[in-house]
Amino acid sequence: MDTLLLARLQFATTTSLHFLFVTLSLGLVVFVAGMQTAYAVSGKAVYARMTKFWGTLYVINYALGIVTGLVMEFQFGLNWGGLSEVAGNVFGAPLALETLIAFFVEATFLGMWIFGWNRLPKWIHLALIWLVAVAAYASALWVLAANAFLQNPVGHEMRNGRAYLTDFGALLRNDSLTDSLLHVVSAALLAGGLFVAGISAWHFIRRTDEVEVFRRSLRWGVVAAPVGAFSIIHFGFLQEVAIERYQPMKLAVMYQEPARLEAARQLMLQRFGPGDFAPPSWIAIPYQIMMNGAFVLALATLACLVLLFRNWLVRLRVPLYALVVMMPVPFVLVIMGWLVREVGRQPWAVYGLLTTEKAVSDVPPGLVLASYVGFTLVLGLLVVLDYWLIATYARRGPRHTLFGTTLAEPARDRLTAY
Amino acid sequence: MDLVWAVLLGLLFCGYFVVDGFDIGTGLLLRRVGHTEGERRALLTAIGPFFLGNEVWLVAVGGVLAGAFPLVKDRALGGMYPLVVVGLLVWVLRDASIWFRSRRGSLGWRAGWDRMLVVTSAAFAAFWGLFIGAALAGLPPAGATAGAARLAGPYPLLWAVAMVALFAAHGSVFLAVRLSGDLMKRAEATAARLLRPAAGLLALAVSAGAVLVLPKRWEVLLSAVLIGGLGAAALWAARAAVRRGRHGRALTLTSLAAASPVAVLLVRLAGDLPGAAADDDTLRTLGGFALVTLPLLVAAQAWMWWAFRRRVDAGTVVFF
Repeated sequence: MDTLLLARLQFATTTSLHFLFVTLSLGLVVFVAGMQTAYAVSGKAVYARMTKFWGTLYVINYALGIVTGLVMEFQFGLNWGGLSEVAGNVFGAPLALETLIAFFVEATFLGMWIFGWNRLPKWIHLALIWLVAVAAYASALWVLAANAFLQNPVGHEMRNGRAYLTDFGALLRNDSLTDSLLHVVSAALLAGGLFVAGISAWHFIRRTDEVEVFRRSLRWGVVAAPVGAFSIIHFGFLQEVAIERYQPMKLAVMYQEPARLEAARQLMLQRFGPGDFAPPSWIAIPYQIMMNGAFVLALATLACLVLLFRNWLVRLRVPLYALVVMMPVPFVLVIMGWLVREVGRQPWAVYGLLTTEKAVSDVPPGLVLASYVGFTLVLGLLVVLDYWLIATYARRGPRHTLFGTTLAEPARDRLTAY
Repeated sequence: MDLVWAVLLGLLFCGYFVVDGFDIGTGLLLRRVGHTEGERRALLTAIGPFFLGNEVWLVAVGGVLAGAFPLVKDRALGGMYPLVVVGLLVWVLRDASIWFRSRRGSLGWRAGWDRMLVVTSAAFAAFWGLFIGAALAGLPPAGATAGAARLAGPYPLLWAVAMVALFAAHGSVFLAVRLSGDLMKRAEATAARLLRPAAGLLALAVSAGAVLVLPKRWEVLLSAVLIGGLGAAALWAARAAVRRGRHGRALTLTSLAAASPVAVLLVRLAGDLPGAAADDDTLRTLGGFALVTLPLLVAAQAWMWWAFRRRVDAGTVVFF
């Protein structure tokens, strides 16, 4: 195996794991902030219980979002030296801003929110979770701005084989950014909505006694899910306009239509000269899975929304099972979507400027293999443990909150005490 | 413009050693200072509200490297590839120990993660020692990866021992500031035991570097010895402060000491990296954002410290 393949596998693995957790974090934080707002405004205890229950699952999920993100940030320096060499002046800027403007604030305030339960004034504590949410979305914006530069490099000029930043605003107005960001945000909303609805549905199936918390949560989730699902589809297809304009070969391979493929090949020949500039044809498969999966989810979540009428959703029971089954689907679709976007960019690391082959560092393959095995084993194990903890807390319900307990009475959050 | 960003990078990196330094130190001492399950939980609560806000300093170092010094990032990370990979894995496991530890009530589960936290905190401190020791000899040339002899030779190993002692001492003083009652007394006693050996090891590591490793340029040698000497002296003085019950002053002193290895490293590398910064246009753009956001970041962190300034006692909210 060569360094290039191993470095790509390593990045794909870490990134995919990272997306599983950040997608849910982005989705859930909106629910947690919304529920806490409902509590602050109405003063109803049920909203406090909802906030704490979903907040617990949110922070357990958050842990893995952080550690996978750490590995990713430093992987650029480890394996992708050519990328900094050629495009570091431009590509590094949004990443630097992500850490300084977004993540720094997000992590600081999340720590304060976690430890501020029953300690900080109500409205300040509420402001903290909203600041965490805003920072999380700002973070997504900067990361996608960096990624959009890889898809459609703008705002720079090339001098002596290196890119120099000439127009920072162009990075944010990039045609490959806006629709993709909204697509990703919609996916987070769908994943969060189905997560909230699915776990609530499970509690109704098991007839646990937390009816009030899960009745309201189910509504929140079932209302949010179709909004997310339909806007995913909307912004998904809108992106194809930019893809057709800037990466015609990618779109042709996604569609697998012979006429389109031939036309795209001619365009590549004109633009880059002889050579193979097509991504692997298998990206058509994740594309089909993503698209059809999103259609199914859109219809199914819409049906669930309609069934909220007169509480048919709960009374019929079958839709409850459907909601539980749908819970993991958005995560699969998110990975498929990223495969299409990133593998579809191949053979380029920065489209038209730098091939992936030249972007990779000159590291012995043995080292990359060892680090790949190390990262995959450690992160993989932690992912399994984290999902197991999330499942455990989801099953226990709102009685076992992690928040606001003190050193003197920590027994309440001990699961064995249940 | 280069200079402004170099100073910012230096401040963030030094700040990281100060704030994550006592998290690492607390992890190291978890089972020594905390004897029962409840006491260990109190130790984790001492660092708890700050833990997330502390480690983001290193994330910000990575971000500033990527944005303002992309080529330095490649030489530091790629050049010390095996070491950096191990350091990342240790960091991930350290974090996981803190996050997972109290999520189940089973005492076996908690004791297991406690052991993991002690081991990974020690390994993380040692990693920083190896990193600094190896980098003091100069970063490997662009595109090259240093071998094991360079990354884990006698000199980096000396630094590894020194950093474990330094972070443990720093952590014990932090715990004396944050805890109360018996636990505070125990943290004080631990600090009194650790501070002098830590001072000695730091002085030894820096002076051995001046003789063996550092380039023979008087300005580098002089500032390295001066900074290292001040760091060691601060540790020595912190012991007296702890014994007189002046915990705040002691923490200020150990914080200076915790930052000193990074300062020595920056002095060593400063002359080596001409033209390593990103293009001026990039730096100016980033600078505009930084000008607006840095005061906000400082304010956010100051607010965090202010909000959770009270000592940990029975009524303190727990999470980790």
